[in-house]
Amino acid sequence: MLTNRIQQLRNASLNAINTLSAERAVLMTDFYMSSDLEGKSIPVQRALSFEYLMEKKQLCVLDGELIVGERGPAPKATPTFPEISLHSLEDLDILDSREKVSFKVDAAVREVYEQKIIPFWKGRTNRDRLIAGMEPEWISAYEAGVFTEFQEQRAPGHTVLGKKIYSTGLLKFIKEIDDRLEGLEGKQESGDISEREELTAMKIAANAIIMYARRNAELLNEMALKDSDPERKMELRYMASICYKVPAHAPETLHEALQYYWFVHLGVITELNPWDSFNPGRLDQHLLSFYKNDLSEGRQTKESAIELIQAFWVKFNNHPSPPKMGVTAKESSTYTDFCLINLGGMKEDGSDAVNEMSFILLDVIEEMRLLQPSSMIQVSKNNPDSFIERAVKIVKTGYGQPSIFNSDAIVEELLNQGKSIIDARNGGASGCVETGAFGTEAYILTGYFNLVKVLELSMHNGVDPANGKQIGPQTGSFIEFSAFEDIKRAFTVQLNYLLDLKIKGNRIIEQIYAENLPVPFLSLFVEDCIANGKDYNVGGARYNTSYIQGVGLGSVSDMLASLKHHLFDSKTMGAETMMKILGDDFIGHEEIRAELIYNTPKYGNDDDVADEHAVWVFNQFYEAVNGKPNYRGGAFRINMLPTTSHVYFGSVVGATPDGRHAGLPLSEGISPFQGADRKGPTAVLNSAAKIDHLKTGGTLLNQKFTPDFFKDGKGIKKITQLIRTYFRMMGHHIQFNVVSADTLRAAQEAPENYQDLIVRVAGYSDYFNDLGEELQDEIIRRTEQE
Amino acid sequence: MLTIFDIKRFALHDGPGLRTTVFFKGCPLRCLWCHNPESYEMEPESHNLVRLLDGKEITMTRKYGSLIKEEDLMVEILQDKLFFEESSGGVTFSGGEPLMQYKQLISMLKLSGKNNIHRAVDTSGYASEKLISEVAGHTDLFLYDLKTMDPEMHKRSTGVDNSQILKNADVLLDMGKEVIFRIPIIPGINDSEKELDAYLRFFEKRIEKFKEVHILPYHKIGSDKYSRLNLEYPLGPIAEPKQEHIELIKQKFSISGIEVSIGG
Repeated sequence: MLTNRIQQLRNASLNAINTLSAERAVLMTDFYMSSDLEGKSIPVQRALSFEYLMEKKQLCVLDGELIVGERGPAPKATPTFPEISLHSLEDLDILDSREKVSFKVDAAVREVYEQKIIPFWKGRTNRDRLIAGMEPEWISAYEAGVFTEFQEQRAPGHTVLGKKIYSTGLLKFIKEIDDRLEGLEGKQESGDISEREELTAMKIAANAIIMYARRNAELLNEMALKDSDPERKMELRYMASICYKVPAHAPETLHEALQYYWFVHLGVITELNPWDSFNPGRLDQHLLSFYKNDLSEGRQTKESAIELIQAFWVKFNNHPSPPKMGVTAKESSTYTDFCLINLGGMKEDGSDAVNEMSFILLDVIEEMRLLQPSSMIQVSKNNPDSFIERAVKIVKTGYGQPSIFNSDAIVEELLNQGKSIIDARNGGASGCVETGAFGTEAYILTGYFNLVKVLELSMHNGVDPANGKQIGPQTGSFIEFSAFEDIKRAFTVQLNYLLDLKIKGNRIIEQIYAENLPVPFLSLFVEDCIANGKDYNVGGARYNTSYIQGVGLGSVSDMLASLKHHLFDSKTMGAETMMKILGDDFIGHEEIRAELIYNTPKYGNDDDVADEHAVWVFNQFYEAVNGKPNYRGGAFRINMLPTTSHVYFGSVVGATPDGRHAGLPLSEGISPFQGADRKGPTAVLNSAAKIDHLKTGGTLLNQKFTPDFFKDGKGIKKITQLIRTYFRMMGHHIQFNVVSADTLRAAQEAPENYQDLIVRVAGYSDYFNDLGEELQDEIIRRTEQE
Repeated sequence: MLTIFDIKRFALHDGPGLRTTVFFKGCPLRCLWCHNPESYEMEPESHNLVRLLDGKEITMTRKYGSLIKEEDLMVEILQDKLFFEESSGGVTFSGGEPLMQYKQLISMLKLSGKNNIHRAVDTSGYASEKLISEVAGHTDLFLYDLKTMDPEMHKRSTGVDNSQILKNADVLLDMGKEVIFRIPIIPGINDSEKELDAYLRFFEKRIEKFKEVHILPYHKIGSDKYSRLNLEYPLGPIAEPKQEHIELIKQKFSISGIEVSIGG
């Protein structure tokens, strides 16, 4: 049972309307207009702008709160980041009025945008630099929907905090910086991105968050004076004392640890708008000792500790992902900002990490049922079944969380990328399914890559059939291909050309961020930025990875299987016929379409005839990306996840040889195309395990079950066995959607009655009502398949 | 070579753990409520299937049944070996009536045994004593149907006599084989008090020799298949049994340590 306090905080969060707040944009504009930045390096300028924000931004403490700090002036009041990309007045109208993932924009915000923000930032944003830096070929491919670009509206992010803050206060960080600065004295350095400037900037940023915590402490004391409730008075004073202590000093209690983390989280998502937001990572590992100490010293009971953690949980839900526009909105159409709490897994020495706190946090997840934060369990061979079964019982309630990951695979993936065994074991997954070494790695997602569009281009000599534009190289006329190998050859050429474009573009984009938008605050918390005297965006982290996320594996595999089967093996039709029916979007060719759907090999049925194409495409993709150097001294890697980009990517692809109509969604993650798997989950898992997950930084597999499947202990055990087997085959991740099609249809009819309905979309959960109609329909279709 | 009409992987109700169930084609019984009428004849057959696509009715041919070599079938069963291992599951041979192709059944059982796979046979028990004993020598678990205890009703509703079936049940129990009895509950056929008492007496007498009974409530889902196969549904429209009645039956059979589960 939730306490009154938590119910009140939870309701306030659920009922808060997403609004666009101009506060940050105004402060940022004021800072750049009024400050004397002459002669100051870019990192120092950025640190000073951060300090300015933390000094001037309005504070917000809600009734009953235990953990304080809001990014905007109120819950879900969401700031903008004009130094990255600028919203036009038209954009503001769209954000205000669009049906999905809207942000209300009031007249005052519009006015200040018109008068102040737009005039100042127009033509000066990072997005302007970025687009100007791209070649025309890149622009064409981007516009054709071959790939997306994460850093167009969001800063490089995707990092997860390690354990350092739980033993070290920021004053110690500052001491470390001072020592390094002292060591640098007298040394000659050149250019703006010098160690001295970087370290100075980090120090300014560290002091800025201490100052911000102190402002909160002062406010809490003021509020305590005015509050008439003696109990709350005490509480406010106690909270004030915590804000005086952390983040300057190391935390000693659960409350201090949570408040410290929250200040850091807030700093990271205020400094810029990193994608994904930020993440405490292995929370059960970090919190256990604080909890135990609190219990043994009588500071907390189990109940009060749970209430405190629940109060912490609400803070995540108050912070939707910043407003997205255009392609960015399509590829990630959600309020979720992808903070993924990790539970379980293994300790540094490889032993079972499941502890009392893992189970407490699972209770919290089940009771809170909030969109944010997302949650997952890491399952290693060493973890007990009882841990998985507890998690599956939450999955069963149809909430879509937690998702389930293979720790043993994650560790191997990280080792394959050259991480140390300790750093690998301290890792996990973040965002949707992305593998990372927590606390030591900057693993930046750069964009989705449309594998299906590549095959479509290969079938049209590099031309986009949607508009006749030449996007890729000329790889031959499809109707003249005499063997299946010719199609594969054309695909490989197109794939490598387009990925090279993407990679080249990303190197430039990384450089633009490194030079113009360093993140001294975030850099404080990622090892070894301080030790290297180097910013997170410049390559200061111990490991620097850039990911490209492949999308449509199931679809592209089915397309190849269909072409091989119908054009070359069984010769049921010629290439011209195939092109004709695809051009007609199957209208008047329904019987052939039925053959393509029902009598053609499909990925996901544990049939090598179909699955070999998935393995082949996967390996081509891997070879084209893996190990290529990025700008930050690290390498490009692949992972396989879509968020909602499979819907966007489907919208730019015509009818396909697997029987899919033009414009409809593609397969997601490494899941089979919706409805193409007809041999049940073991066959799906076997098919999915045929690709080598350990070559990736994460794969996403979605399996849907109706609720009755989980109704008794036997069903839950069988799900557990299914998971164990998939993980034995080194599958990376699996998630379960437990919903009935009728429920979903009812929710479509009367959304007002189903506002709490959360479904697993693809690597994350979302409110069903916030999904576009197409995606809703897709989820209903998938549910019906059972 | 043997004739099968389906292979169902991730079968959850045909024995312990995660299993693959192989459905043999051909059956000597004609149970009125049968939900696998495509399993009657041993010959593979084709039927038209109408599918709705883009608002149009598309007629496609659907094959029921295929001839497969024992080795090939084994390869397919082995695809889920890891799932069997993790869950203490295995393979279940069902039908149709698997004993109708007993030579092939025995070679499948032997092959599975060689591969260390747990073997279950789901049977009506309608076969000679000699035959069933031979099969039993290579089987770990029988899912043994008791369709009705009343000889006359059995004859009327399945087309065959049940005296040999009941005898064979004892053959298996006396061999010390693990047997799970399965009772389909068909309203009007075998759900009267008299019938249930007869079942109970049968169980009581053999209580030392088996542990589990599965109650399988009749489900209308099968009737849809008949129209697809252009067959008349012999049972006609009857209602599904009430949940409360099923619970009562479960209680009735739950005697001295017998584990009764609903739905397998």
